[in-house]
Amino acid sequence: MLNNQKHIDKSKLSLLKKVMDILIPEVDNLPSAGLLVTDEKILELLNKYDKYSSSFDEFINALKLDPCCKVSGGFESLNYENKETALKGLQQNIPESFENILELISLVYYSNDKVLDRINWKRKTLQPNGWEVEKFDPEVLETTKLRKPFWKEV
Amino acid sequence: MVIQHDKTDILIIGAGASGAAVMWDLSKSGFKVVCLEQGSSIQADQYPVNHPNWEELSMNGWNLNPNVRKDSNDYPINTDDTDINPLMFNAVGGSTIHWTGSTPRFHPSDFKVKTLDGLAYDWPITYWDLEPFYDKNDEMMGVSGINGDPGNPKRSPRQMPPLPLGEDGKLIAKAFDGLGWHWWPSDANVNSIDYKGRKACNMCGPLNYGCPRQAKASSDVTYIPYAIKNGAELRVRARVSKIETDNKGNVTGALYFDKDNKEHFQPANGIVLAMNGVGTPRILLNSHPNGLSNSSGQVGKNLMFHVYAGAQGVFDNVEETYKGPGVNILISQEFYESDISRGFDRGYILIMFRGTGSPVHVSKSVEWGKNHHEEFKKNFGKTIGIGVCGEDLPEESNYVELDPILKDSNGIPSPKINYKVSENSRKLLDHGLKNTETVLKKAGAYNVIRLPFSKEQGWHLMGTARMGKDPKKSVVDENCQSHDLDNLFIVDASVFITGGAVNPTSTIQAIALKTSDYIIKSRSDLKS
Repeated sequence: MLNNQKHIDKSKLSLLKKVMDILIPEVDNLPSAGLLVTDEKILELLNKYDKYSSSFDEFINALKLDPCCKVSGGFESLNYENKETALKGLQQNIPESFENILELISLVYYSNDKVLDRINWKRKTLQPNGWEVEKFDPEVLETTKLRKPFWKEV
Repeated sequence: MVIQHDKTDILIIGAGASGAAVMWDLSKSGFKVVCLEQGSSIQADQYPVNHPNWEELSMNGWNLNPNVRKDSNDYPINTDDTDINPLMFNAVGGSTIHWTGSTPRFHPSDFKVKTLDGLAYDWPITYWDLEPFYDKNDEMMGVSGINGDPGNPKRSPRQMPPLPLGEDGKLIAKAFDGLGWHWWPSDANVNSIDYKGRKACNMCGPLNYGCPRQAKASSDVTYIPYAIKNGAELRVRARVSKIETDNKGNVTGALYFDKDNKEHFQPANGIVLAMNGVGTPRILLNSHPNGLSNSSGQVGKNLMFHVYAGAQGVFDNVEETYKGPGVNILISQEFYESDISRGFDRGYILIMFRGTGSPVHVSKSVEWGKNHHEEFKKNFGKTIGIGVCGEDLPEESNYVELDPILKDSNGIPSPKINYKVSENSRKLLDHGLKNTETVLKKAGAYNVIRLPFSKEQGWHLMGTARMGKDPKKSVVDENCQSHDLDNLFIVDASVFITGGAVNPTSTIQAIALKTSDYIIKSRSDLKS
């Protein structure tokens, strides 16, 4: 569902990007998700879909209230293990919003050209080319076709 | 002011799987037909697979759940009290836009559940009554498959050879063979070769989000073009609110809203309801204080879904399992027929599916955090899934009602779903899940992950205006004619008495064609 442009607090967006760094860390020559993905890309989806924007609000608010984050500097000041613990808590306590945020992050990360190159995914648009799959070979039925009919005749 | 239209012979409400079939059959036989569809006509270039952000589109504006999709063609559904969310699509073609094209048939035993197992009710018709209509539907929709399945009665010749099994399919087939368990290539309404002017599938993968090649047989590209050629009229963005009646026990027409919220009345000699197992009871309940055609009190009752769960195997000897149709590979009916020694009633099928699929879907399904990239690598293109689809028996406590508060954009009360998964269904799923693991391990999976029971699985909406001989216990008779109103017919899966354990669309369409055959042969009084 398309929405009108929403006001997204920059500090909340910045916090989300720190979360992204934990959820999808750096790999090979690629930085972590929060560093790789642009603000614009995230904002585009937050603005487009209620599902993500409402989950974003709930997620960030819950993160701020999480007991692990009640320290000076909040989530960002925690060490890795404590950040992970805080996020696991959210996954358990607000599963639907957590899943939506994970979906949002997966969408923005795995649509990045550098990421797609790394995993060798060359087919961003599935049509019009599709894929090649070898045609059906009836020889594969050799064993299963020998069975006697076993459906109930009524 | 209500806009009045000229009277038609037959008014069909809903242009999905069943409505489209009736529209074609009746228009071919000289009936003047008008079909009202609340959704729009979708053009091929709108389908997500044409777009680079297709995963984003599939998870949002093309989501199978109307409450997530929130399209202006949809109506909201109260799902606060259901274990399973109903999934549907509102457009010309209905839910065949988002179906996978899997087209197994019910077994003969599915029509005799009471006789065989002492459960629920028998149908007033048999498999053999429906068989010619299954065949007629197969011809129109086009089936890729192969005859000779020992798990089912012999079929008429399939129109096209089966879809490819792929290397992953062959691996699973071999595992079933090794276990001595049944498997057979899936019958699919997806073209393996060009058919009736529609192209062959090019294996792009997702089947749930429309097919721009028309390789998948959605009813907007099979029945409807022919029906329109026959002279039938299709009106889109026409949302029916009420069926009107006279004091002689007849329906007279339907009130509906157009896209500009203007109200219309379409009079008709007869009405055919084809709005699915949620939409049909909704409109019947909204048409009369006690529900129209509801002297039995059964409208909305006995809602059935199929229950579904699955498992996914991770393999080191398969590659690129995202290539090829996501399903329609092979199914096993080893556990279909009842066997009380298993500890539950009725049965299930095992369906192979092609793993987690594309990058975003894989990312969502694997661990986040330190191990994310390693887990992604292990799973991407390396997984094969097997689903369990089980029979869900009818229970009056599972029902559709009108929500007292929630309404759609035209002010029509929304449906509320009340549904709990039964103890029997849970036992059935447990049994099936153990067997999915057995097959995947036999096939060589080094890791098997159970896919938890999910709320997002209500593809099949059945039972809410059931068929039967006894007017006190059913809504329509064996010809799908209302017991209460003899010019009202229901042809969607609302009329199912039991649900079998296979995808219902071919059975829905066969029933629809049997009904139109009855109208053509026995209800010439409805023709002006």
